[in-house]
Amino acid sequence: MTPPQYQVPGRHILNEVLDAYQPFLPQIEDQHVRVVVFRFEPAADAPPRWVTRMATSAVSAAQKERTFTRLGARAEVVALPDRASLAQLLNALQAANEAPDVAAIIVQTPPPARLERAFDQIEPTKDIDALGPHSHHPACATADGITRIATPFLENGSSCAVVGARGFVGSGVVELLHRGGHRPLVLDQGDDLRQVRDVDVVISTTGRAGLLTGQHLHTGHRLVIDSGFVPHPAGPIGDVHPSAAHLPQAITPVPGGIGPVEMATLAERLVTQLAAPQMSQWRYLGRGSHTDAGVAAGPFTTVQRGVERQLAQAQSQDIESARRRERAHQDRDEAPGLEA
Amino acid sequence: MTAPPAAAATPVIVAATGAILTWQHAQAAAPAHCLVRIRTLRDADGIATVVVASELRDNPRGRWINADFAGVANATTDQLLPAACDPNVVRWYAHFGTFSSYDDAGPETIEQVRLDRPGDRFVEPAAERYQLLTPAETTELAGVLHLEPVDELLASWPWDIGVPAPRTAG
Repeated sequence: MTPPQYQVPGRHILNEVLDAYQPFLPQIEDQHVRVVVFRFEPAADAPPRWVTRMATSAVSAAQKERTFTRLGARAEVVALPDRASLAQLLNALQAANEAPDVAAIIVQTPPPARLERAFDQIEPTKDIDALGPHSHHPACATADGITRIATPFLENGSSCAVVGARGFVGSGVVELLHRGGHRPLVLDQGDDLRQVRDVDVVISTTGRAGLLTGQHLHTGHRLVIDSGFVPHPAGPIGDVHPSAAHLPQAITPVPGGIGPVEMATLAERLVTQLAAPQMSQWRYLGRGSHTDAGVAAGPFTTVQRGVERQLAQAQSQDIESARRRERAHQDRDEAPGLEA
Repeated sequence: MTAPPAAAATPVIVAATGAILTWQHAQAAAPAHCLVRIRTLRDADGIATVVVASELRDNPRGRWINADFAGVANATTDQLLPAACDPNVVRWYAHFGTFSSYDDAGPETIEQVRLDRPGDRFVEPAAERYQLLTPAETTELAGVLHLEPVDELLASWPWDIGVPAPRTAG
């Protein structure tokens, strides 16, 4: 009998991560910082595909707002017209770069193509989504989250393919997989996507609703990661066609899969920046960690361990600082007084 | 009332060329490339030269045409403009669309770029010097200049130039 399909519990992962970070909330609240998220509004006569893409972008911006608010930061979503001038976006980014209370700047992707060069101007320390070339992060949060989900499934030499490998997210995934020692099959426009039938793990980052069908997916796939999210009256649709979603052994559902995982990754980046600089990155434990006890049981990630270590480290640093202060105080008291 | 001469109503293309321009990107310090189309037009006022530079999706990220438009203009002048053409009177445009990115790119846009050339080299324009044309102006200009859709044009070239693949996959 075929075992039931495993659905990667993106929402549980996000909740677990946000709950684990609650000890840092007072420290973040005390800093009174903002995260500014820019997104684009389509013009009235924009092509339908672009209108849909911008609707997806608005959903993602709202998710970010909720995530950062739960961490004690103030999130500010700024909607710019998609016909905004380059100067307008650059000026807005410059203002955010210079504002001391802005901790992080995100521009929803994709932007209108002519505005993409503005990403290069984002202050690297505030670029938590790795939009510019000098960000301290190697890839965007979506690519990072996808790679974390894929990693447990890629053990023991499993093969993988990235569909949409030349796009912003896909190229980040390829980069991170290479860093992890994997050699994914890279596919993009013009390639025969049926090649994904030959790999164990399929990662799709195209944002094209229903692109992968029964022609591409089968029951032998260990995992399919679907980062697509196209709003639809009957519910959002990912890159995987609904008729093929049941085929792989494991899948990231749409909604509730990679979207929340992206938020969990951004949450980690913000907390690390504002309150826990030495905290280790959370890792996804894979299906083996919680399937026996049921999906809702957890733990789903290593986040709690990382937080505990960080808190213990901070506590020992506090104790050490107090000791040093005390010693300095004693030394001052014992030193002979200076003669006038 | 006498009708104006035909040339005054509609500029006529008297010379046209297109090429993949490669130049050393000043910001990225690396080679970049774009599609450049040059049109020489004749109307009642005389001869005018127009250059449209189109960002291509296989040009690496960070080497955008509008991050080094002076580089595009200088390389076009050096490599492609006829010697008889005065670069100071050329009209320059930056062109973006679905052909510019592997991701969704938004509606096709054309911006006029006002460039200064104090000596014999163009200098990088401030962002304020990019003037976005309205959708109607974009359509009109594309018609006057006979700008074919970028992907179709590149696909029609018989030589291998590593052009962007078709957007539809699967």
